[in-house]
Amino acid sequence: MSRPFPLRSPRRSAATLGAALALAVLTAACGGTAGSTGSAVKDDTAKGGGEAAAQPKAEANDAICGQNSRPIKHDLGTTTITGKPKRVVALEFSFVDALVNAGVKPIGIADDGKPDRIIKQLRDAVGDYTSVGLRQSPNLQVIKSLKPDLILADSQRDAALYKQLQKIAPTVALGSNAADYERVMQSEVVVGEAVGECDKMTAALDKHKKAMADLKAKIPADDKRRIVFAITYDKGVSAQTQRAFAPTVLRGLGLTTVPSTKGQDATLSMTLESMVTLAPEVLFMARNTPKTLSDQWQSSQLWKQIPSVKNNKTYVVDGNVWSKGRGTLAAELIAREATEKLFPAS
Amino acid sequence: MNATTAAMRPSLAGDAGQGRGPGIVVAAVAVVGVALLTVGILWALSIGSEQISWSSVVHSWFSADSPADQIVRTIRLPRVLLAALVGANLAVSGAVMQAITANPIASPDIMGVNSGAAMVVVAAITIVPTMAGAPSILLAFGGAAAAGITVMVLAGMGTGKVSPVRLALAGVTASTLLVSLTQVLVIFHENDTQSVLFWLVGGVNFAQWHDIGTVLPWTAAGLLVALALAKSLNILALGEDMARGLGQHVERTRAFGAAVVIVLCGASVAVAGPIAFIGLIAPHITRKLVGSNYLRVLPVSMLVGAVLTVYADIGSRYVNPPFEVPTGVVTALVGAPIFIYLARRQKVTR
Amino acid sequence: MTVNVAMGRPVRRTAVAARRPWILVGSLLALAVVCTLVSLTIGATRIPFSDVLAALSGQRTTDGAEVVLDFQLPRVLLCWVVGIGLAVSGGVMQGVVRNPLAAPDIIGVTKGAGFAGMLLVLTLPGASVALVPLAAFAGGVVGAGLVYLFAYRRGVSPVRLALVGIAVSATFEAGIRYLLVKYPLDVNASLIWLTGSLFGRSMDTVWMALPWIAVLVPAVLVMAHRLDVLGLGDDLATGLGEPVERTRRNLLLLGVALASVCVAVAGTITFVGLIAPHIARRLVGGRHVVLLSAAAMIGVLLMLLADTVGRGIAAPLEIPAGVVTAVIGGPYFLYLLVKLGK
Repeated sequence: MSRPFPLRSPRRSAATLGAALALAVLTAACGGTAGSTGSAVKDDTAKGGGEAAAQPKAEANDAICGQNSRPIKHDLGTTTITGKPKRVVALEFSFVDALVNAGVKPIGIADDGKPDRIIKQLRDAVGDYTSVGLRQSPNLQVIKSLKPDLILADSQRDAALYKQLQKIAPTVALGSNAADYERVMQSEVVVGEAVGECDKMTAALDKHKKAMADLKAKIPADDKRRIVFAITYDKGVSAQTQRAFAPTVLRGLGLTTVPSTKGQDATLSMTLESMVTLAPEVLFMARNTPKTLSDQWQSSQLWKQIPSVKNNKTYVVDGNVWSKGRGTLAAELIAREATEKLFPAS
Repeated sequence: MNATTAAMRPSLAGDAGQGRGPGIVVAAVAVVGVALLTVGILWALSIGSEQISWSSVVHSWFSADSPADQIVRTIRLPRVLLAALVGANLAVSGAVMQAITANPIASPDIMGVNSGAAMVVVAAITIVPTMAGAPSILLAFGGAAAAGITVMVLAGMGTGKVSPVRLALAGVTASTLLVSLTQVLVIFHENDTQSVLFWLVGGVNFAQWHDIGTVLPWTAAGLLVALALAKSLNILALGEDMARGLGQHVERTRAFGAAVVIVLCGASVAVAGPIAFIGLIAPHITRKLVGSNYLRVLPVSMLVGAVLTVYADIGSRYVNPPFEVPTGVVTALVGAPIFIYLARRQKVTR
Repeated sequence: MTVNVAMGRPVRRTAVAARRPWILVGSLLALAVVCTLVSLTIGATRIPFSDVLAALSGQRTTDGAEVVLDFQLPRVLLCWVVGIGLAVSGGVMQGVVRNPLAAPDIIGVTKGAGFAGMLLVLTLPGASVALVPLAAFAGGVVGAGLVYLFAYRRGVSPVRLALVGIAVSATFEAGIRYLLVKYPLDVNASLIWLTGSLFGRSMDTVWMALPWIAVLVPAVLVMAHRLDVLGLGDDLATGLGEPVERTRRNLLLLGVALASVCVAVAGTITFVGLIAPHIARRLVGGRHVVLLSAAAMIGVLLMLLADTVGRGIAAPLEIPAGVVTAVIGGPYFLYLLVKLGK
């Protein structure tokens, strides 16, 4: 069967190689054209939007809450909800926070099969619930078997599931995953409208705002320390940018966080070198694996030169609160922990 | 032009037969290679979060006073050295593999050796978290050995000459299985991109002196054994029957060769993940340059592998700045077209 | 040529199969139907068989029946569509490349489709979900086209096609990994798709894929006898008046289209296209029209097994079907390699 090819033109091979190279460049370039085009690791401590984040603009629309059948506008459309839903399924942790604020106990939560990921106070408030699986792939059959009357979904992560979820129960899709503090607060308001508990939600949010304002009052306005929140894994360290939840909470308190980013990215992958260059004066780190890359960094001389390390301002924090929590309670816990660590005397 | 054809059946003299003295060619290649490597290392040392001038880089050789010196010494130097070491490891194991399988497209990635090592390490980290760390290099050896030997046996090694396509298909199949398993481990473990990509693609982005210490003894041992094997590999390249006729212990050569491959690849994957294609393309480039005598091929492909990997790592800083993409993405983007080119070749595809 | 010797080796068959292969195909079909019914009862919770029957007769009276109609049925139907598509595609490619190891996941299609699908999802998050299959389809065709182009040199030698396919796949793989770096937030979701899963699929997805399969599979079966001719070797086939190059191209195109459709709706499910034709060959022999029919049924069985195990074993967590097919298919394939090597 072998076909003989006695004559090979060198030019032809070169052309092939060229074409093949072009293919590779094309594959790379396709990925490069769209999406975020770069954000600086090293950035000044611009504080845009920080103040606004502390006071969410969205206010509960009481007129809507009063109606028995009310259209709820959300990220993926408008869903009409009748009565006060009691059997609610939450596909993100921040929705659990919102439901607890509204006085509703979710019956199903996408908890990745790991109940520990729900902040303890919330877990206690919720009591018994049914796990509906991974947040990436919640189990539709389990959700259905719970006979929910409302599903709270993430508008980005669950977009492909939205139609299916609507078939099970009225679904409201809101920002949670990769949302900043302000968006999460807006989501809370909409959850209040969706479950028909605007008064409770408004009261909870007012209480929350007051708690945040009290903490903010303890913070000297002239504090300009550069704060970094990073998550560390076995083979990586990611710093959260000012698009992520925890940094926007801190900025809302008038604190300064780095890195900022011009792009859309909520996290920025760090090397020891970029961490040294970023030079955080306060470093909060959540550990996601038992052994982490940052453990290895700690033996290095350079690590000891990072201001936060030199001044003993490096703290290990709970990733379930700082990174996955994303709600009013998470915000308060983050703010309190940060305030305690930054200003030990007060 | 038919370099590969010539390469895969060298004469005993091992001469490339280009009319020039082989010594001169090798010397020239060595000089150029070392020069490229030196420039690459200096370049790599100068770039990062902050540009550091070449004079400061040189300065850091003598002092460790300034922060720049510190960065060069504790972060950039281990990184570039690890890139060079891993490149050398992979290149030599590719060359040895091509020799013992008599197969021009044999290489650690195509035969699933790298993905085997990575899968076992990831499984250990995710399933038994406390096991991560110290023994990961041994786990990598185990994974590399299991995958590599399985593929070789299954592809029909030892039953006569194995066609390249059969070996490639067997290897790709094994890789597919291993990568699927790695992916599901990662999905359930919920990890961040950097960790995921490290185990799927490989890179030296997080290199530390500690890693150099881990890999260096194995590299040294592996390379020495490989060089000691060079003459046997030359004879083996004449064909199994001929080698036997000349009194070669073919099986012993193969066994030692396989051990070298496992140690070199396992050590590389343990510290730098499964970096693609260096093991495939470095030996081919080398044969084009210096012919097919393994006494020359092995040391020169070390150099070529090191140069390729160091420059790929430099490239990884420029692909998507200010982010660093894992080194393995760059080697894959560059290496895959060369693989396509090789796959088209007459000798390989006959 | 080890490879072709292996292919040309007469395959031992059961007595029934040798005489009446269609009886065996019929039995496989019956088995697939039974497995389908069983699969419908298995989910995160067991569904009573009476509910399954009620659902199939079109009644939405019970919760169980609703679950069957809304979630189980689309997935099971997709198992049929994807299983048939991948298995027939694999059978065609093995016939054309004349290599028992060829399959859509190995020669460029799957990775090309995977890359294009990811590219769309990640770079245009606002784009309609319905566009993903189209992108994947385009990617699969481009991938296979590139393979054909690079492998072409005064004709396409089967072996070169396979090798170039692996190389082109590797290039797309590099692209996929680059995308993973660029879009870190979606890594886990991307990985689920890349591994291949029927999670969250609805009847819309079934309707998207079904027409393609319904057209392409009969087209392949009509051309099946030409695969038998190609199997005789290029020289002999040409001697028999077969336009070898054109037949090969047309058949490959059909195989590529089938595989692309499958990747588009189910992600990159591996090994089904590779092993289903093998099992079929052992059962019913090498005549392609029978072989492909049997392979299709075995593909369905494999998909049903993979998806049912994936959603039942660790509920409510879902294991992507592609992982299960890899775990089942990998070892079987390795066993097969040993057999073929001897």
